[in-house]
Amino acid sequence: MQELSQILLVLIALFSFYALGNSSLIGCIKIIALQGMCLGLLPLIIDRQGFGIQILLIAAGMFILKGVLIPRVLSYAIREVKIRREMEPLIGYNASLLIGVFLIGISFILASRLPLPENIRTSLLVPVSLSVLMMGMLMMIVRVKAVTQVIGYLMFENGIYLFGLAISYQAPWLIEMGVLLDVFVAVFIMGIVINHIARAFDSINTENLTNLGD
Amino acid sequence: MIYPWSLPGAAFHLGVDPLSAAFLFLVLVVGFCAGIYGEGYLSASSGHIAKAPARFFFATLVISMAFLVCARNAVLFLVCWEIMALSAFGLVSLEHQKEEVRKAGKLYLLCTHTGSLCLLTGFAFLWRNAGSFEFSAFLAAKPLSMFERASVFWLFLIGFGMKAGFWPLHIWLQEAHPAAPSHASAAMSGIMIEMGLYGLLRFFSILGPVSISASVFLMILGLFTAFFGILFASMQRDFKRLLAYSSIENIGIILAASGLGCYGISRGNPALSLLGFSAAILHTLNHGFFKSLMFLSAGSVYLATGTRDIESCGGLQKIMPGVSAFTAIGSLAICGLPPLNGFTGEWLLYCGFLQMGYRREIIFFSLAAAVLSLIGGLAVITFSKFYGLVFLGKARSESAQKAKDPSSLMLIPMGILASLCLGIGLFPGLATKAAFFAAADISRSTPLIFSAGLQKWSALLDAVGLMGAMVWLLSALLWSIKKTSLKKRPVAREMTWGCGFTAPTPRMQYTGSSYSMPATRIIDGPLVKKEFHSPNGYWPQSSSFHSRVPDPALDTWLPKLTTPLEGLIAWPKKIQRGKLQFYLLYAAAFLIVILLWKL
Amino acid sequence: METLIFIPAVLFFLLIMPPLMLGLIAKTKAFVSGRRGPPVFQPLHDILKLLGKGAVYSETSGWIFRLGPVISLSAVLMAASLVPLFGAPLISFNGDAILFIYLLALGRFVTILAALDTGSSFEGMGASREAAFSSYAEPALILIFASLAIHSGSLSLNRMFSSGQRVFPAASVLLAGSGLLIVLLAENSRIPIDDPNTHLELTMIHEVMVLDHSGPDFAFILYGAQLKLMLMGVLWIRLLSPSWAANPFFLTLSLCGLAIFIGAIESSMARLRLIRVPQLLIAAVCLAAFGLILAVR
Repeated sequence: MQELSQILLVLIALFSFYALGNSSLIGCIKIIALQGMCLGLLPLIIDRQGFGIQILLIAAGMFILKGVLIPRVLSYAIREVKIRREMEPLIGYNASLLIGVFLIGISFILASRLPLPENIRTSLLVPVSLSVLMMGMLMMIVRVKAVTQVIGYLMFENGIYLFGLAISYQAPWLIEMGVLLDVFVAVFIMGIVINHIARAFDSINTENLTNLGD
Repeated sequence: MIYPWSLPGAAFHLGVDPLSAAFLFLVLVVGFCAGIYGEGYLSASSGHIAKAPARFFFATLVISMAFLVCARNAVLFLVCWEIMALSAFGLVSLEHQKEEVRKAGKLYLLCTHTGSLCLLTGFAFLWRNAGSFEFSAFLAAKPLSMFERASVFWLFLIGFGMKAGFWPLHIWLQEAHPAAPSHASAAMSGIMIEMGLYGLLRFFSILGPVSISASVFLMILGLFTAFFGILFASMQRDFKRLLAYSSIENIGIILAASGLGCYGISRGNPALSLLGFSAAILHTLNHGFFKSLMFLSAGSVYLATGTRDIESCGGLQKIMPGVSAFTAIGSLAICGLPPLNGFTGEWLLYCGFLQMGYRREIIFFSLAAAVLSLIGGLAVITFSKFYGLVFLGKARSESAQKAKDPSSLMLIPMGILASLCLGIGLFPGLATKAAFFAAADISRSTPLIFSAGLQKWSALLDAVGLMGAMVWLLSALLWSIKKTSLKKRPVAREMTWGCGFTAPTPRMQYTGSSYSMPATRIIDGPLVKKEFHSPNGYWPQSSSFHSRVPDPALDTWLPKLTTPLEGLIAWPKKIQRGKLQFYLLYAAAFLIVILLWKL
Repeated sequence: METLIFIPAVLFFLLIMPPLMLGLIAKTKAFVSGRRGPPVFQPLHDILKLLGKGAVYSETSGWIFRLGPVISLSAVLMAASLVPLFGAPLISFNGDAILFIYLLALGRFVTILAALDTGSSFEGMGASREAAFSSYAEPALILIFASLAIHSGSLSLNRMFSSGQRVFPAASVLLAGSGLLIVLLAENSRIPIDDPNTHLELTMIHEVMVLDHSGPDFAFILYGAQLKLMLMGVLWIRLLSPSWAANPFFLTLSLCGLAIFIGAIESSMARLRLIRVPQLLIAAVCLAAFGLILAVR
């Protein structure tokens, strides 16, 4: 079980990594869906005492919401605006990959320094959550399309979820549900907003939003 | 050997320890080979280089370096250092009729004197502490204070680094080396810049351990210098400039190895430090041999074709068989490939990086090894480009068609250097021993650790050498198999396959810039300056494409630093009026002020 | 007695297995596209046939061109002597992993020079790409070797790729394995980095470099390339399951499996655009670095 959960965690980090180097929006959405599914599976196989009904609920909820629903909304949004590729990121794909690995390194260092109980500090959960979080941040910073920014935001949220999973296994599942609802609503709104930006500007570059200031 | 000297604090104190011996050997061998080659070069260069000054400056350069590595007194050291610097200046500006040569000479003079200034100040610190200019007194003196140690470290790093060409102090290097005649650039690149490293190593042995962060800094600086050097080398068209940048690369590798050595000392791990410093010294020796060989062959090509442009050479392999064979050996060695000497030092460095046994830092060191291998890959690109475009294929210009092998006076020294490269590659044991003995003092290893390290690594390097020998043997075997099988069968000579095209011209061969483009494309974006006039309209008139690779440190950042300085200097410049009366006035004013002050 | 059987067995393995792997790749690709394909021993047959043929040399070329294939093959052969196949390698010492990488680099360097010797612009193009892409692949290989070296405490391929006392974490194996697979595909010019069967010289990398070689020279080059593929394959299999690979039958079977796997990759993917290849290789470097971070933790 330990090995399996490690591999799953590494896969989760790798999906973020892949999204960093991928220019195709559909590819990114698929990846974020896969990441969501892995997140959903994670509570089931991470080592713990006993299966509760809550765990099953969280897992099922995560799986459906992050792995199926949100990607659906996103792919609907980009089908409407007919955007396929992120053409001009602020930082190139090669560079973002290298920065990504750098961030992974940093998150491992940070995780070893965080004041956490011993059993949590040695697990892979914390560093992976930090690196997913940072890569999501990076994605939001260096990409200009609204859709990729939403994907970055989702990645960021996945990182937070992982971190929560590390800190406490079951207590705040209500809070988690609340956050999930938030995210869902946010993505939903973003989808609509993207549509509207596209209609208003014939493009979904968020850089156009700066023009609104004048 | 100590002789009194009339200068204050100075003594003509010479001594040879293993470190000096290793460098002395290098200086004498390379000096000898380059000197003999120089005679041939001067007589073949049909008189556009003045012979007498060339001989004089070359002799003073080599002699001053030989004394430099033996000097045991700081004043003597500095005097030799200055003579070396000035004779190199003389050699750089031999062809002073050319504007670019004068410019390079001036730049070199400025840089070397900035370096000397730092050294002078650094030695002054040491003198204040020890009360004497003797190296032994520096060693015996009480430890320096924190502030003094830091200032001495930085002063020596800048002073010696200026000579060795650490990034960003390398700015003079790629300008001065192409400007000097080739035997002089061989001596400058093969031994003179390594004097900077000698100074640094000597300084480490005097000053003792530097801090951990400083040694990590040295390693990062070294790797960056190496990466930067080879990246720029791969983009050059002028082959002497390419070789100069490659010198920067090798100096960077040596610096990284010395940084590893310092790290070993500061972590109290003499075995590691021994490994690092001996890798540095071994690579220094190797670099001295293969780099001077490469500069000598570059000189021969320049003499034969009259151009330093890679893109106008080509096909020299058949008309200059001697030079081309030696250059092939040099190119293999300079890429650090196995059966030759370049590999041995790099191999030691890899082993040092990957087997140091510190679990926490291992990621940094593994990344360092990865960077080293990236540097190796770029070196392969650079020198396959150099050798492939200059010697292989067809001649791209008329002058390259008429080239021929130089006189034996020039070929024999190249042969000696090439056989040294081959020999050290096959039997690295002896050179390794020399390097380990030289590194023993600096690394402060106990005799036990020293002999264990020496035994372990020289045995392993002998195994590497044996593998190299087996590569040659196996090649000979396969070659004879091929020969016998081809003897009975038809062997034809045809045109190169042109994918159906039957009238290729030499100009259709792949160019050097295109050759190195795929590798550097993802990094070079801001580095390459392109001027492109695209063809316009239906009947385009003329269009052109021109790209060049300016050195960012020299052409972009240095002016930003010097422009404000110039403004500052402009003010006192007003005093200089150029009329006799003014100077008389200044002298009188000075006298009066002095008299008033003193009386 | 054991060595008397062992050495001929290794030599036989080294001679038969590499062409067989290539034959299997071709067979798999043919099978997927619904053809019958050449017999699996066709590559071996080709090599033997070429060895018995005469040669055609380009007028432009000189001795480098004739020496290139010879040195390149002997470099790869020496590299082969360092790799543990089943049981110990022929030669093994501390630090031979670096030598392994550099011997492969030597082989590549002389092949590149031989390509440039013909003066053909196509071959120059291929040489330039080969040099560029392998300079990105090498750091990945070094990082993978580094993470193994930390675990085994030794820099010799034998110790690094054998089952030791310490278990390499599964996640690390996953990362290092995927990095090594990319390096394997790149160094041996397979899809998605290079298409060995393409018909357009402009898009080739490795194949275009050796256009002008013929007869025994070409046989040397073909065999060298196949041997390199097998060596990297052995390393890959030993990385994934070091304990089982000591069994010759398992090793043979898994090499065949790897060949079929590569064939499947080649049938299911298109070649990447050249401009995207460095990105894949950088991803391999990053994977290896991530694996290293995990391995050290």
